[in-house]
Amino acid sequence: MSEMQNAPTLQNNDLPDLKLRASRGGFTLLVASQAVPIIVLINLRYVMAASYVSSHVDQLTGALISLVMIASGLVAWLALMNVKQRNRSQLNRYFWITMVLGAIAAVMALYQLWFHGVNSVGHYGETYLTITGVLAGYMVIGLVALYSGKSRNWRVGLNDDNEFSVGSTFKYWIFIVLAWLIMYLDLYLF
Amino acid sequence: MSIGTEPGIGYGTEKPLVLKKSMPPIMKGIIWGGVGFLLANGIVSLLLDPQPGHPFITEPSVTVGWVVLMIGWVLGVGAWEGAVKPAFGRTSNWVAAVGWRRFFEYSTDHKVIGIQYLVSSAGGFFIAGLAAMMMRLQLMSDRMWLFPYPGQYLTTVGIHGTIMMFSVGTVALVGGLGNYLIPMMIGSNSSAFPRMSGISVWLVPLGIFTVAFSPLLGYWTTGWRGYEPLAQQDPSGILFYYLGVFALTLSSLLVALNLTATIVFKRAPGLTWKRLPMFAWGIITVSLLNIIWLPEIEITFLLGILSRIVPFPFFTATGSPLTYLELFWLFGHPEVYIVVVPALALWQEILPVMTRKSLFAREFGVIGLIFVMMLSGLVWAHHMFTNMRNSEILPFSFFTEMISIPTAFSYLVAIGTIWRGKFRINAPSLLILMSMFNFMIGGMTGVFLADPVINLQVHDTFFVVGHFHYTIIGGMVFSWIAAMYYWLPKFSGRMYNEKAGIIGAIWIFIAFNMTFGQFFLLGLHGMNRWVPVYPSYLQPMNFETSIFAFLLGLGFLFHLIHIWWAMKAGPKTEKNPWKSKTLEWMSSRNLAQPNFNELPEVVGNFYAYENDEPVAVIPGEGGVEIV
Repeated sequence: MSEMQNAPTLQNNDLPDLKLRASRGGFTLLVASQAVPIIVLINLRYVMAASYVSSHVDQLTGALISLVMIASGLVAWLALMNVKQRNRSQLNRYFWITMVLGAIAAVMALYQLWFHGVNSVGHYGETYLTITGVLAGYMVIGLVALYSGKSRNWRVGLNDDNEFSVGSTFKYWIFIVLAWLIMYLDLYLF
Repeated sequence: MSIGTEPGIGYGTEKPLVLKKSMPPIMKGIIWGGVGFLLANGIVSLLLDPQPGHPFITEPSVTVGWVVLMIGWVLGVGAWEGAVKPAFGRTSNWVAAVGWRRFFEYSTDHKVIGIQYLVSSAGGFFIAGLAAMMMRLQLMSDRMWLFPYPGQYLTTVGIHGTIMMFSVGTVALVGGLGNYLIPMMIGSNSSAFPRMSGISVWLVPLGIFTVAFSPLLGYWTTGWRGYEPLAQQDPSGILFYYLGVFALTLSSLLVALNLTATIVFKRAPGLTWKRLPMFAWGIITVSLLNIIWLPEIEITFLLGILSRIVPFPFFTATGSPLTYLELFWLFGHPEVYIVVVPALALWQEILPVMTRKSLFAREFGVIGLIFVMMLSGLVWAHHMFTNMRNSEILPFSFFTEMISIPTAFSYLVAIGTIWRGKFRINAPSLLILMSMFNFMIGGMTGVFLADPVINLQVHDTFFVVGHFHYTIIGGMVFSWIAAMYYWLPKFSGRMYNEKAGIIGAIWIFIAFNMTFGQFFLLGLHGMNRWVPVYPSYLQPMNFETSIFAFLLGLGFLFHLIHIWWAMKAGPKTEKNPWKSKTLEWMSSRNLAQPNFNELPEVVGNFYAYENDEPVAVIPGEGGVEIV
């Protein structure tokens, strides 16, 4: 059944471009899976409280968080555009700005959670607090991811092996920004 | 081209062992997790949220403490050195262990991880099996005698079901066999994300122990479904149900991400979708289900935890109890197919080898797996017919009956392959036939249950329990044991004892059918689920059912001992004793070596057994081997 012949050259499935495609594909699947809880929570909000918005909700802080998140998302997007240049100090600045803005947004979201004016045993209140808490959790995870990207960029520098994974920390943050904005519309406006 | 590896990822022989580990990684995991739990629990219960009487353990504190325990455990077992430090650009001192130690710590070798998953899953199977034996012991009498209180019996039922579903049904074939076999089957030396995989496996023992020790916090009477608002009325044990299942589902989610990316992006040259092994098709379909539905149930259980510890009234009488049921079964029924689809794929993987006949209607087999995956999300509400209007019942009844069609494609492929083939009767082939028979009974009773008239009559009776045990144990566990015998030469280089394997197969087949066949009769005679006491006229049948259940438990134990013995002391066998054509048999089984020194190129059909056309070209040291 088997015979031996001279070895031809075969393509290796650990080649960099295939590894990159695997990383991209895996990251896309990860984001898709992380979007599922968001979809469930949007659904839950309308099941529990229809489109009711409490008059006690802190609209100003909600809008400010959204603005800060938009700013951090724009910086992350700019960073993503510049990853390929592999400029270590420039990328480090982008990381810092995104993280500081993200941390401000996370602290404000935790403030909303702690000093809320909504009734926690009401259906709007329970969905409001749950969704805000879940997104604050996403933000903390996103900040840890950004910090890991910043550390790798600063300590190791970008190379073919880690360029995608470092850049994907910005992509993940942009996903969190979008999730927050959808939830902002969902919780505060509609 | 040599096989490249990243720093921190590789086989035990790549680097010399230069570092002596300060303590066994499992011990480090226990200490880090334990200290983390005490600190986090103390901060919450003593400082942030003290409760009347100042108890050290409160519901919020134990929840936060457990999350920190989970993080400390996986970091201590090896994720800190192997994955976290590299992720932050720090120099890692992690060195892959060699010998038996490699199984007791973080690893990036998919074969080691596969074995870790299989052993964890088998451990879960026997813990949950012990719970089942206790349940059957109680049910030998029509009154309370083994358990002083009903809550103890119901907690045992919950532990049994939860560990079986989330650490065995969802894990054994996907996390275990999938991690071990898939990279080899597709001609790769590793999975796509080995570090992630090395972490995910350690969530399984944590999840099993969390659920098994849930009575430390009190009883919970909801079974594996965690039904609300019932869960809110129970003592606090339900918290460990939610948390344990979170660990187990998180593990399965990471496996799904890893194996999907592996199959899509790491296939050997020439391994087109048309040539992809059937087991790989089963794994990718089930992984897509996992990627969708596991995050859904995790967020649902988070709502359950928040309802408990904040508390929120999501699922109380003033909330929407039905929403929990909907959210649970949205995941719960696809979960059944998450368990069974890899088993259907295993039939199609093993039968062509055992019949020496080409796989019949392969395309229909693949289409069947894909359509089962797609339809599985449209049938959930048949678990809730008692809560629904007729107009709502009809579409779910329709789709539930429809899903039997793509499921039957697997039978079409299997029977067509066996038909006029040179069928070899041995332990794996016999167990596959038994699995097909059992699953047919489970499937046919499922069609009955899809019918609203019958469903409403037998709802919450042992008829339903018999039905799902025929699909899960009868379909999946029998296929799992078949797979263990079939790939045993691959795992160990040794062969099992054929007579013992066949006797063991017949043993569990008879005991299984005598146990769960009688469940149908018990159900039709009025035996309810979730009750440790029942009308006395059902006692004789329950008594003999329990006897067969004990025999079934002993049968599974027999297989475990036999497989363990065969791996250690069975007769040595050739590399590919079944003369299979799939790639895993051409790869190295040595844990210290890559699967392929040079990666293969697939040039033919793995399941064409009626000709000698080459399947793969595998470069080696002495040239190229054409298989």
